[in-house]
Amino acid sequence: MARKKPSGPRMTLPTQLVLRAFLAEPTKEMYGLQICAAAGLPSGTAHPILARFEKLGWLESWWEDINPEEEGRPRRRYYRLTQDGAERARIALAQATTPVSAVDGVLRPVPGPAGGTA
Amino acid sequence: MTIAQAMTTTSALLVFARGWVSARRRNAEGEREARVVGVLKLVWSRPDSTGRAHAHDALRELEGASVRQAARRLRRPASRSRSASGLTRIAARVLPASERDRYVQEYSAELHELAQTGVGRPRQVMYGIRVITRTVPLRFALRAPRRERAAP
Repeated sequence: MARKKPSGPRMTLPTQLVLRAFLAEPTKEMYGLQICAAAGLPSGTAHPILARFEKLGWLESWWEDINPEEEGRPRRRYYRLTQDGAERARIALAQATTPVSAVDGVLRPVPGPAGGTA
Repeated sequence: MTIAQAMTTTSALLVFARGWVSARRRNAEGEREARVVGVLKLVWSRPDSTGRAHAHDALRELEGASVRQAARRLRRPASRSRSASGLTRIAARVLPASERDRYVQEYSAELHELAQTGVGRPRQVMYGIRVITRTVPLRFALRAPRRERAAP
């Protein structure tokens, strides 16, 4: 008998860590490096997860409203949980088969937006 | 060679060796000092936990750096690595055409931030490599909704 495929995203550990980072402050907007640092992931590894949640409507993203020439730096892409996304993320984390708490002693958060392993 | 000549040569060699060892010691002290000043400058520029984290990274990176490298680090913040930029551009080419520009800009902003916070070029290249290794999952993620709609 074929097993029914779950409708939500696959809850891998990095996925759970990213969700948990967002749920720590659900209304906070964060950019890529900040998200990696908050989730304890190496920088540059969160984009596939963010894209997945954005397509599902759990996250929304937008460009920072600055003039790059005046600021002397490129615009950042900010991400934030949608209202519906926050609710779904909580449920998904609660239902995850391997909760992040089970590996809390193994995974160590990386301080700073660059991530310790930038 | 007489015994007197041999003794003179040996003592000259000993004086030279002592001088060399002492110069090496001075260099090592100078290098240590340069590292500490560099780290203090980093912390001073961002006196929060982020600054401390990057200072820690910078200190780790400076371990084994030459005096010249340490001095160069003191004069200016880390510059952006062209190799890392190139890697992120290669990664973006794998993505759907409609999304390429967005991710090129996003990676560029992140690399800029890494450089500004004192992350050196080797670690920026590591960032580029990590971005490349995540390109295929990102491509799948970006194409996913169309597949879901096609499913019954």
